Amino acid sequence: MIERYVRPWLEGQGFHLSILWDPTDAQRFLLGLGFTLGLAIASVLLSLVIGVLGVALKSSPWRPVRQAVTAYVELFRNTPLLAQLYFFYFGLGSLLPMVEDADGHAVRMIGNFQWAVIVLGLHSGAFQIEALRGSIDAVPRSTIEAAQALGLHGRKLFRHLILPLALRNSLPALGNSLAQAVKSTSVAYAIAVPELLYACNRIWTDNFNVAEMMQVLLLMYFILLGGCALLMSRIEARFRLPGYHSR
Amino acid sequence: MSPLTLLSQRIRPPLNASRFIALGVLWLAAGVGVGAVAWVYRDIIALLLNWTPALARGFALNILMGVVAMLAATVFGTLLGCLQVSLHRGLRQMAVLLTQLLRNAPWLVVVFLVMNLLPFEFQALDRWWQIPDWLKAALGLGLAGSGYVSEIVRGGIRSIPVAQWEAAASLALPRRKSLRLVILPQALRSMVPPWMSLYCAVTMATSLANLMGVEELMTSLQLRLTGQTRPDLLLPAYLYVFVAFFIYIYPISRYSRYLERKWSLYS
Repeated sequence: MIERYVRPWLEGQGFHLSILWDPTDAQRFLLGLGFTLGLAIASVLLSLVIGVLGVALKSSPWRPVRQAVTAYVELFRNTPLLAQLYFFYFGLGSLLPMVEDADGHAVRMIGNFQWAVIVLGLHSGAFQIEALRGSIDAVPRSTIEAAQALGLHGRKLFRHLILPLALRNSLPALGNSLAQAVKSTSVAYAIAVPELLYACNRIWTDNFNVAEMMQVLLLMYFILLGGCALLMSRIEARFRLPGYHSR
Repeated sequence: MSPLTLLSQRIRPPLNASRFIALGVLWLAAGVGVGAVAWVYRDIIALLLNWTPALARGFALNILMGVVAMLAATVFGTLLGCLQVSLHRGLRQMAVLLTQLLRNAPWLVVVFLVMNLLPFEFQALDRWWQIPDWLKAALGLGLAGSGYVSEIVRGGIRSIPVAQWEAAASLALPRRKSLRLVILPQALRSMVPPWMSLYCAVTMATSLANLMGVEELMTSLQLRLTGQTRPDLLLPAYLYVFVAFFIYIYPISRYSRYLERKWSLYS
């Protein structure tokens, strides 16, 4: 149907949207979309783990541990993501030994997709630590005092009071970091991870349809980010406590 | 006091003699360690120092691109931000939509868009002018950043109490004039810290121009690295990029956070 009706009409408009009728291009495009989603989800999960760990370490009684977390946060917040990607992929990656894959080819121990996940995770993890800490700090002092007056302290206070409120406080920042993660996946283009931008770049160099693919690319990112925003507003509505507003 | 400190309250011991000696030994060990590493990698360090003048030119291009991008973003973003609070419904909705679109597009994609969209050269004043690649990349980053500036401006304007608008109106100032003479000057203070951190982000993003072949810091480093074919050089070389950016960005971002803290206390 596409071949018969859509293609002549679109091409008549001067719109060479090859991903609709060329199976190779369609496959490349969908694979790119999958890689972008996979990268975003994996790196957000990694950054959440790093964020929770970092917050826990940042309240450690030992000063060097706290300083190490601060150093990590400052280093990753104040250097370009691309430099981090190159540093890990080329700098550290070249030091790793080669291993044999299933077909007997020698490959790097950590592939470009894994490196992209690691670096994007480390990068947004640094922001996650600050966000999570901020959401813990935003738990109202008076609520904590009220809980203390009821005899809660230490671990119990943290589990039953600070954590549930802090998690709710952190939802907007989490949504923000999710959106940021989806956008940052495009930088993985630099180490040839076949994500959306890379796939589109391949398609427009093969078909000379830069303008069309550019629009499709932007549209895809808007849909993805709109989806993230929708998801987060659903989650926020689901966990909303009547009468509780964070600072 | 944050709730976290409740969990880990601890009193620091006073600095006595044994602690003093332990600290001294620690610092000495650290110094010896750094010295040893520097000795082992002395030829690499010498090579990197040798490259520094050329790499500094690359980094200067990064900074220039950052400034140009930020100028473009500020001009366009301020306009967009003011339109976001316009009374004209169509203008406002268009500005809001454009801001959201710009904010939700990945920077790299916007840079690609502008690089492909802008012509290689254009005709004006009876001659052809070429647009250098670095300028195209900077304008792309400026376009991407203008969405953020627009939000900063809108937030700054919103942070000013409505009473100020009314006061300006009671002085018979038309809306445009009261925005320019009354609201924006007051909003400036809350806009400066996020503007500075946006500048940091834009300057860091100029390294993306590496992917467009613009000869900035990372590209000039990679050009020199390919001439060497030494895999052991890669790690220190990319560490060098880290350090260069960190030295430039960190003070600015620290200062922006300081301003944010300082000014949020009194507003």
